[in-house]
Amino acid sequence: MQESGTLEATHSTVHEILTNPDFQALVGRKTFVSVGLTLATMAVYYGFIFLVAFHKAVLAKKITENITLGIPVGIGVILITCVFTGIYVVWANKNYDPAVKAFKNKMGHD
Amino acid sequence: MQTTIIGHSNPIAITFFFLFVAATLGITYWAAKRTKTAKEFYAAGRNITGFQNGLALAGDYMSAASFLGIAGLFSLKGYDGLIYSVGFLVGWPVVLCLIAEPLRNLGKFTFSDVTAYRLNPGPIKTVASLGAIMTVLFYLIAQMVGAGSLVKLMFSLPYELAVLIVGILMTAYVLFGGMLATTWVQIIKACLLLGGATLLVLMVLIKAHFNYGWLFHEATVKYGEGFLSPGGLVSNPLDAVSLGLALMFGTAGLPHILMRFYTVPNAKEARKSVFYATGFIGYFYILTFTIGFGAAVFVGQDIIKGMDKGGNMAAPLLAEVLGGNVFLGFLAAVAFATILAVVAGLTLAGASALSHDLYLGVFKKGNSSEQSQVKAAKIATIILGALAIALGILFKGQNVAFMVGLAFAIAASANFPALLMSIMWKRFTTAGAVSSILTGLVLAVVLIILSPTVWVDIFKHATPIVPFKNPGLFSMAGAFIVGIVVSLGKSEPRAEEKFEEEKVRSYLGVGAE
Repeated sequence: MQESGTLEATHSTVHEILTNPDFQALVGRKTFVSVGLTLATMAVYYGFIFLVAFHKAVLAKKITENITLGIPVGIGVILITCVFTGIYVVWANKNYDPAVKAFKNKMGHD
Repeated sequence: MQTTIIGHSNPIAITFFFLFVAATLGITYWAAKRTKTAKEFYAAGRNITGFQNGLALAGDYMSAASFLGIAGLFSLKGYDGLIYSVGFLVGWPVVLCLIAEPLRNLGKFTFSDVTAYRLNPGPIKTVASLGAIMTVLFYLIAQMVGAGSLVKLMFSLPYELAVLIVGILMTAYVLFGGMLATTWVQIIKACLLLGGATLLVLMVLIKAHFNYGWLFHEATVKYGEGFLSPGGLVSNPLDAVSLGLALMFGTAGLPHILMRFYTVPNAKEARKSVFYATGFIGYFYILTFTIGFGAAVFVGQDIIKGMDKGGNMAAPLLAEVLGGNVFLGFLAAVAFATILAVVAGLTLAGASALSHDLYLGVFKKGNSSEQSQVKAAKIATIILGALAIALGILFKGQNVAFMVGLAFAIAASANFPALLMSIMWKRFTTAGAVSSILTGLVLAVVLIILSPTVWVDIFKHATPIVPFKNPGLFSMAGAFIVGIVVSLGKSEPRAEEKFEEEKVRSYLGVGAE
């Protein structure tokens, strides 16, 4: 990468990048994924808190002789949190990084 | 009552502890030779891999409080412990999706670098470093006081001596070995903690014949059906939402966590490190769940409460019952190592706010030789270390449990909103950022002082002035609203112009250091 040199060269280069539809699409996709996953995490977490605060009986329900529904739900929230970060990383590695590379090539950055 | 050797000097614990100290001081010596420049001191030369940083991040987050405290909570309150652990974990996707990559692409050593990126650095760095230092100090007090009591309990050392030992060791790691030593101390401790907890869980499972149903059944026989379902921990829904917000967004505003993203070579590694960290922390909370239930069944609540009302000794007691003196000694040493590693990370983050943000950024206006930058960082480390020891001794015997909550509330209200708006919102201005940070900071501190936690529990007034235990909802909302209103009030054309360059650098990584 030619790093900062290329960028500081002219202000118009920056402006060109910003108005480029490819760049805008890139930003749009990233915002969609990152805001989407943040909201999904909040939904899962507050869904859980909502059950804990208002529907304790649901979580207290026995699903087997000894295990209440609350236990797999709580552990599930922990696992889903890990899965969400996994989804983001896989998406960014497989989709975002190559797109950034392709865009840089097209714009003449190394 | 069963006898325990906890509280008596345990030669095995002391041996393990000396081994750890010797190893970490060896690492510090090795790191010292590689810590000459500011980049090496603050960011380990940016040579840490994503996997290593993931372990170190997890290490920063898995404090002794979360190991001993949450295992204790599970053992005494059963299911309610899960509500806490879940809360501490859900902040990580937020860190990953909103903060990690722009932070890595835009900043140099601290998160205030990013908040100040296109704004007027003088005022921003002044208030941002205040937010960072307050977060670190409250977190540090909680850790130091916890450390003193724990070491006293486990090694029967006097409280002051324990605080002094912890303070001197952590200062030595940071002072001589900088971020490189701090990171490796953290990695070793994370491995020890995860390994020790895994062993303990295996012992529980062997004793329970690998049957969770049996373990849960025994727990309900002893403590009733309610042990497996939510109890009274979340009684006020608004309070629960407020606590949730502080935990979720506070993680994305903790200076010692954010600082770690500068130790990796690029945004891709930063991203990977959050994934690993989340995995390790999630796994760790599932382990503490089993440890807590195991302690409730195999040790019993009476004995746990007899040692420490808060349940902090649940895991060590369980280790003693299942693995004897040797395993107890090992686990006690691991708990001590955990404290040391976490306070070292905090000290480094606090010192960076003092030296990189305040001294270099504000007083020197960014112009200072490499040599004097490192010197400033080292002086700041000594100041922080001395402050931590003094505060640890000053707050002896005080109820400091609320201080971790306060640190998270300040992080979520003062540090996070301004950082996020600076990255995302073009019209954000210097005045907007300064007022947002100050609003979040003042609201978080004042609301907690007036809340039941401090006003009633500590100042012993009959009724609280503010009914909510957790200020997060109000202080965070206040910080966002004030930041937005002030920014809309008067625009800052220079900041808007520079946003374009910031955006390109943030998304494409062009020009990142």
